[in-house]
Amino acid sequence: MFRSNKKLLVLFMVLVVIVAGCSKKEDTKELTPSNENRLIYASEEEFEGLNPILEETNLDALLFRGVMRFDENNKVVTDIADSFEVSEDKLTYTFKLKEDITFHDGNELTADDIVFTIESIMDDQNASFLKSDFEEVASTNALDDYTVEITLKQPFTPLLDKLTVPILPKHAFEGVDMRTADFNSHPIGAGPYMFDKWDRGNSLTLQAYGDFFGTKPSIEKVIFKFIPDSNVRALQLKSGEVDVALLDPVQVENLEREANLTVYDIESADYRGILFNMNLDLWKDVNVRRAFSYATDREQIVKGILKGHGSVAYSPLQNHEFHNDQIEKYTYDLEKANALLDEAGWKENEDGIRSKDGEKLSFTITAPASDAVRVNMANYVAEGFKDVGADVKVAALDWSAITIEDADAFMVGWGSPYDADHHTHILFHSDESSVKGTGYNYGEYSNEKVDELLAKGRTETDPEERKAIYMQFQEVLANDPAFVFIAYENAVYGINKNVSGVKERTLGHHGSGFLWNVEEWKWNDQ
Amino acid sequence: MISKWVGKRMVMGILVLFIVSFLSFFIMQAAPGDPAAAFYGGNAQTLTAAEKERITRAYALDRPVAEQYIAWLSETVKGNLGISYKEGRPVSEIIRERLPNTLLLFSVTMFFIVLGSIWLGTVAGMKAGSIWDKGLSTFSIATSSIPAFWLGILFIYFFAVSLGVLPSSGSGDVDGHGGVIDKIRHLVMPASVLIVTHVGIYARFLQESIKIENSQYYVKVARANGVLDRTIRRGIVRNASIPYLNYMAMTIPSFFGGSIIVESLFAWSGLGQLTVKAVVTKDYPLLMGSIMVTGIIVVMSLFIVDLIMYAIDPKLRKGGVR
Repeated sequence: MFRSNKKLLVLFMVLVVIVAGCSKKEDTKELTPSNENRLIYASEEEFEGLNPILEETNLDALLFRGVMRFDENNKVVTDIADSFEVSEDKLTYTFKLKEDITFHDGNELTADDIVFTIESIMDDQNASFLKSDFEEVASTNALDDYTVEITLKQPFTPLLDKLTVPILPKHAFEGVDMRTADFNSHPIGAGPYMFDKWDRGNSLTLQAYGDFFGTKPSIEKVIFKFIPDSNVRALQLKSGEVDVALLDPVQVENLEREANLTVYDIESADYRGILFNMNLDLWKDVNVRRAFSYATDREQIVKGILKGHGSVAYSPLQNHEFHNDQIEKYTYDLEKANALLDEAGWKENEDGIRSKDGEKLSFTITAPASDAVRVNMANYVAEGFKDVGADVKVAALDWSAITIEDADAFMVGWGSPYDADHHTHILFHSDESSVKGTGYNYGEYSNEKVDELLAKGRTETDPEERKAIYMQFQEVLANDPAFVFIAYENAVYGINKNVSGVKERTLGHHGSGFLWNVEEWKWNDQ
Repeated sequence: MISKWVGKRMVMGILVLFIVSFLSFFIMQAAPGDPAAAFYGGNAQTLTAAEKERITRAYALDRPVAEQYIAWLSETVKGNLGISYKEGRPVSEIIRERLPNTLLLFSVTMFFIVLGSIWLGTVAGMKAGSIWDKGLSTFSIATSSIPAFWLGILFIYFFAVSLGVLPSSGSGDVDGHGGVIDKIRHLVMPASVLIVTHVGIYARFLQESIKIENSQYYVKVARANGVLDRTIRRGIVRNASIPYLNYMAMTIPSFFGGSIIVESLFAWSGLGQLTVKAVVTKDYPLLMGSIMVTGIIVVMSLFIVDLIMYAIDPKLRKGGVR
């Protein structure tokens, strides 16, 4: 028995060596574009569906196009639209569309598709996450095949930004429920790449679309390979199995030394902060909120947790053209923090913890457990707040177990590289309460001056005037903070050295938007 | 006789599946968290109270749990596993895509674990006090204590990054050009991690049983009567394999738990990976579907183990019970 099994074992070993030896050059070390003109992107997660109004994915920019588009300076420019006019009263926008734009199935893109897309977003049956972007739209009409008229309830300057939304083909949804449509797994857009195949759990392949109306893609195929583990993503970037991957801050130093890679450390508009729940008596006193802003050591967080791939934050519009750097930045200052808490009546006890009217200075910061960076930040500041006599706990919970409105304080992540209104009105205006309305003002923050400025900012059309309004808004918000602004996170991407054409622009949440101009990318050795 | 025994086993299997479904359904409902928020995952921060309510209504999550369970059960027995909340596709279709990979990983891994552990366990058990005996004890403790996750990273670093001989993730070539060889190359690493972390502990179990059996009176008598060593060894292994098979039957469910980690690490698109995704998004229909299919695989595996035991254990054939 032993002898025959020994033979079996040897046979097995030989088999393993043979199989390993059958190494096909294109998917290991030897992977170079000279074999195939394709780009493999290490995708952090697999998507449930590819309908851009139901779920946001990093394929949207490749598969679809909008009436408008953001250029490399994040300025909104025409895309499917050839030109547009705005009425005197700023309530009616008329868009002339480019002719002869086709969807990937060959059907022409017309005004009806624009109307259909906006109506689908507004339709409650579809539960689109974009609905709040179009609340100001009164009606959308197709005047002819190439003319669309959008009428607003009131002037709304960010409309052009919102119209970067991907356009869906109306004919693909005839008589089907959008939530369960086949389209969601076999999308048809008008972007530079068209859907090729989706090997569930493994990868998704897009193919260059020859009749694309813009720059014809140089790279024939873009493959999204699903690799949930970040260590494996980094290792595959090293081994050449993938060409592009988003990196964790701790992996950057190691990969920067790799000869076959270029590392892009790109600024983003994506900041982290601590949201105060204004229903908690503790936060009603502005001095307490300011004290905790002073007690936050941002420099250390950027250096330690983000490994230097980020910057300290003090405003929601820091990486925006309306950025105001003349406001209170709350540089780390324990003396000021302690003085403000003393002033607010919080007196230190023998155990080092402050109290007021028999109440201890104590609260819990809630953070989503799936986001390690947010949890690390929460733990770090909670520890640091002991220095000002606060007993702070951290609750790292699953997203499904978090109700932000019920938390004492929450580790938020916001920020948009686009219009200044985009992530301000919906967060800080008192009408945008998540409890009473449809906004994201989870902490029920309310400041009359902020409300007034944000309302003006939306309707003002003169760029200089708008800038002045948002500069003032940042100042008012800094003096009456809704969040402790902590840090802006950079997005760090590793990419094969032979790929050129990457255009850096300020990125969005979790580094979204890196592939925005992939049709202009090319392999240098092709 | 055998048909009666098989019938009894099948009824028990169905009962087990029913209990699993009942418990899973109610545990899932009792778990903290809001399905609507889970549904949006990382975008949950952009979900308002009104939207949560709308999703809850759309998926009838506001109906009593018992009512939901009965509705689910009556559809399931008709073979309809429902529609995934997140993907909007039939659950059966999603599971059909993943099942072959899970079955492949499970069967290949189990085959080599059984082969390896019988060989190692026999060699070490028959030579008490030898280097094999002591070595296996150390080897089994070491390999079963290694976290599969860490070993996987090590394998990837060595075979994919340093040597560049094996692909480090996925279950097939991204171009879809891969044939059988490509499939095997993708299978080598996840299967090896599972084999290495399990083979020692199974072998150790068999080794102990063989040692006990080897010191029995009947073995001494057989040796004294000059019975061939090979015949004696066969008898010992056969008798020692009853507790070994029992142990295997008990550990198959937990083996599935371990394979989830390996599937996630190597992005091996099987049921384990799917289950994790369904848990994170609280996609109830998909989660129930994958739990039930995993349950069926486990019940079938136990049934096969039972059949093998029935074949080698005369006590069972005489109507005895385990």
